[in-house]
Amino acid sequence: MTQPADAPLIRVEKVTKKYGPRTVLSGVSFDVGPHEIVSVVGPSGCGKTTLLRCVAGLTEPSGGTVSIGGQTVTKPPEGVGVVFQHFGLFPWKTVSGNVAYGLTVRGTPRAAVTARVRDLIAMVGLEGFERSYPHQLSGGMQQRAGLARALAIEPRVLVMDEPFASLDAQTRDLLQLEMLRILDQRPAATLFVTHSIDEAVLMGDRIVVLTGHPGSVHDVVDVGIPRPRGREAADSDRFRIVRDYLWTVVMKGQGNDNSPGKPSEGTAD
Amino acid sequence: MTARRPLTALRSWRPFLGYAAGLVAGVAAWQLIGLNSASFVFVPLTTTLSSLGRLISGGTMPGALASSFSVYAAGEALAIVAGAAVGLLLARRPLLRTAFEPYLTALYAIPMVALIPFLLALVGLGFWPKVIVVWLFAFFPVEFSTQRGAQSISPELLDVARSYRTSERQTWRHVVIPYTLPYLMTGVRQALARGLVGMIAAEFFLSAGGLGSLLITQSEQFDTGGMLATTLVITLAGVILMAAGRAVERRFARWRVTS
Ligand SMILES: Nc1ncnc2c1ncn2[C@@H]1O[C@H](COP(=O)(O)OP(=O)(O)O)[C@@H](O)[C@H]1O
Ligand SMILES: [Mg+2]
Repeated sequence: MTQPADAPLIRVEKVTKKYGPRTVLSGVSFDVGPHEIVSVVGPSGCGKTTLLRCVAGLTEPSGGTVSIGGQTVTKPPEGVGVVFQHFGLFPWKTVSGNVAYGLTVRGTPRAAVTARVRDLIAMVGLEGFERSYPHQLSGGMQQRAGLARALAIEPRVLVMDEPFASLDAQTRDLLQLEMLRILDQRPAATLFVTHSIDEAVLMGDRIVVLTGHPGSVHDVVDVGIPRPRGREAADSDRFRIVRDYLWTVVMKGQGNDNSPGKPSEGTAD
Repeated sequence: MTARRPLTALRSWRPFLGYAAGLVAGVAAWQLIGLNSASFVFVPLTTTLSSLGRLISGGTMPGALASSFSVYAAGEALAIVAGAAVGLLLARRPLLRTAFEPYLTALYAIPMVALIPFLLALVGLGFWPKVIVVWLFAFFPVEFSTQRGAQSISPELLDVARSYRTSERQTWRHVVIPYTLPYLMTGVRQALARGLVGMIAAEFFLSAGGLGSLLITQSEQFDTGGMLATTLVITLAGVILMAAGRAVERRFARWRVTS
């Protein structure tokens, strides 16, 4: 089955997830275009990680389907890069060994692996640390390595679980912008999970707002700030409008009379 | 500032001075107690060393060492291989774990020395029965430590492996084994010590050469100098093996967070 070029690459349809008697996700639907970044934002415990694991094929939904490129996901699919909240680096492998991991287990020839790893280490700014072990690096540098490892397999889908949540504010700001730059250079259908509203707006082309117990889609918001984006994106009026709207939705809960109206499309710039 | 120099020098020499002082005190005590004891109870260090000289030049000690440590090496090697394999399998295969873990727990709880007479009756004297005894002493620490290590792999790292579509074989090679190696080495360090106990105990019961049976012969002949010399050699072997065990353990734990 072939897909039109601009058809969504990731489709999440009525996904429900139960752990025993507990429903963690209920009827979650949205999609992600081939070059699109979709932020998923919601309070802690609302099922963001669970949703991401369903998309990455690390767990199966109890109901509904996730499909990537028209193929239903039942196990980790080819071409999906995952960036983990706590980096997930193998502590016994060097930076190079970690970045090479996805290629190595696929049986890519050594020479090709070496060349590709060198390019990626340069791309994420880790030159000179090729032979360092993860515990010798700062959190920010570890996540750079995690990012390079995910990009090494040339993923068409990238899923990231609060990748910058455990970093200090300054490192986080820097990595957000670098991540955007990288995704401009080599786009992928990106699912970016975060609990930070500002981060969701800065990173996302669209934002899926989850509310908890059970996790369900409360709203999907078009950010409407064109890419490429730089630091100035966070100073734009549009950024503030979207952020204020999200704050109202997430913090005050639904049905608040004073909440500003949903920002419509086309009010950008 | 110049006044501090000798002090600093003294400080860096201090551990060495401590060792030297301890050694001198020990040697002096040995000599003094030896000189004031009946010779069938205890002999001075000098007498012990001349006994040791005779044992070495007469070929008794080299022969006993060769006999003992061939048993020890075979027993340890088999215990490490089996302990690692069983530990990894039980950690990764819950069904096997449920089936066999009770036996291992029960066997681990038995004082191994109690099994030696039973083994003697079962398999007799000779090289392999003694290897079995060393194996029994050394297997359990390796198995236990390996299994506990392999069961503690973080689910996140296994998720990483799965998300890169790692095959079961590659998961063992790139994740399970490297993660478990430091735990295995902790087991090896313990096994090196326990195996030595097993070796001497086996030679007490299944005496046919080796340091343990040399000790028994010497005690039957009231050769206190020889006994002390043999004990000294066993102690030295123990110290060397402990140091080797710790070095190996450290070498394989290199990637662990250390401060
Ligand atoms: N393997 C699991 N077994 C049982 N409950 C789980 C499991 N994983 C997550 N949960 C529960 O599902 C809910 C959502 O968790 P999670 O997806 O991690 O939320 P978030 O990432 O938004 O913080 C939590 O209440 C959590 O306790
Ligand atoms: Mg989470």
